[in-house]
Amino acid sequence: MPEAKFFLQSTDLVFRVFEDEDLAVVYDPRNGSTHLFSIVAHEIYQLLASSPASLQELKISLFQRFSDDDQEMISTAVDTAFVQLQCADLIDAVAN
Amino acid sequence: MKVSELSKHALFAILQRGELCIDMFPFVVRVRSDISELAEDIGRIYQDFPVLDSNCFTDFHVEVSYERGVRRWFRPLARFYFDGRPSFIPLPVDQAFPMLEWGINWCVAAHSHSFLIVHAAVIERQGVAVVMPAPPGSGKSTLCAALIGRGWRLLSDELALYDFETKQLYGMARPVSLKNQSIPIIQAHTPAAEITSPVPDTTKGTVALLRPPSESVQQVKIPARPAWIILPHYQVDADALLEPLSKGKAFMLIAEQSFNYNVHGREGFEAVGDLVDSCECFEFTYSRLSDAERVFDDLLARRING
Repeated sequence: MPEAKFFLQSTDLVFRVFEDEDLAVVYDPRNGSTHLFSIVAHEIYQLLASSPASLQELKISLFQRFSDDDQEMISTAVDTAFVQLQCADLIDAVAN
Repeated sequence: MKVSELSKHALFAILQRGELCIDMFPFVVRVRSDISELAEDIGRIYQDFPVLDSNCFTDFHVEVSYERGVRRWFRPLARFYFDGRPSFIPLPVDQAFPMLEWGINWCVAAHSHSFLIVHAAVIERQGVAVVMPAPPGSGKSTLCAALIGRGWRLLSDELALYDFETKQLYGMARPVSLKNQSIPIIQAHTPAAEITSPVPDTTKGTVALLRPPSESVQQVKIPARPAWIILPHYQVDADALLEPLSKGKAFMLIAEQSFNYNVHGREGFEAVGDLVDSCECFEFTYSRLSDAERVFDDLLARRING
């Protein structure tokens, strides 16, 4: 069974990334809510903004992008950020 | 004309007529009252504030007067009115001055959306400001009162007014609200400080109001550039500890402590982001005011010396 692909619920999210910080804030203009995420969530957002992707595809993209870093660490960070984005209702699975 | 130039009798008469217009830059507040003790407190604590012509434009019309009816004669209560309408529950008349202060805070926080308004103390020195957002009980007012007694300029102990355009801070330089143990602590720390008689049994415990330094009132129209966001924690017997606070967390703290962040939508998001981006952010644990003075002075010196 193919892995589920995810897409952004809104491409109008506004991220604020602070220099040398591992946290970022995001504003959702659909409902005025603000969230505090890890910086990895911003990376995922940017990837999903170009096209829907599965969790594994997201991880592979980030492994390639941050090839010097520990893959297990990246994988864990992506899992955490992914849950943050899902809980905030910012991403959803593409319907089959 | 300043409030101090009015005699007690004249001040009370103007208050009774509802013609006392106090310039609390950037706002003008028209005050009415039939409580003579309130007139005395205003005369003393607002002594350096300019009084404007009674025909001037005023942002807020407020009143703190005796609750009407026979009850006034055996258990006098005071009630706050905004634009002539009763607001909030009446309180014992000895709480009239704190009630006026809380009421003005509410007027500003609930209606003044030309600024991003943050529940925070703001002090300034040499043009740069410390913003101290913090929930009640964190010791921000105590810290603020102590530092303005040692050369820092008071902008506010409650409401930081952030200008969206200029990205600078204003604060009204109004009285500092001291609660419970902070009253004797500030009396001991700054013996020359002028403080009202403590009012016990308010919803916030015992409350007293500290007169803002004259220089702070005189410079109220001069904005300050935000340089630090410091989250204070008073902790008994703790050594002073200044620790970096992530800007993401500082952002969320400022947003949570803002009265009108949600009103402004994306503009509010960008304003908080700009404010946080322009500041170094810290958490500060302390127990001794002398330590706090040293830490804040060191921060300033470090910035000035590059």
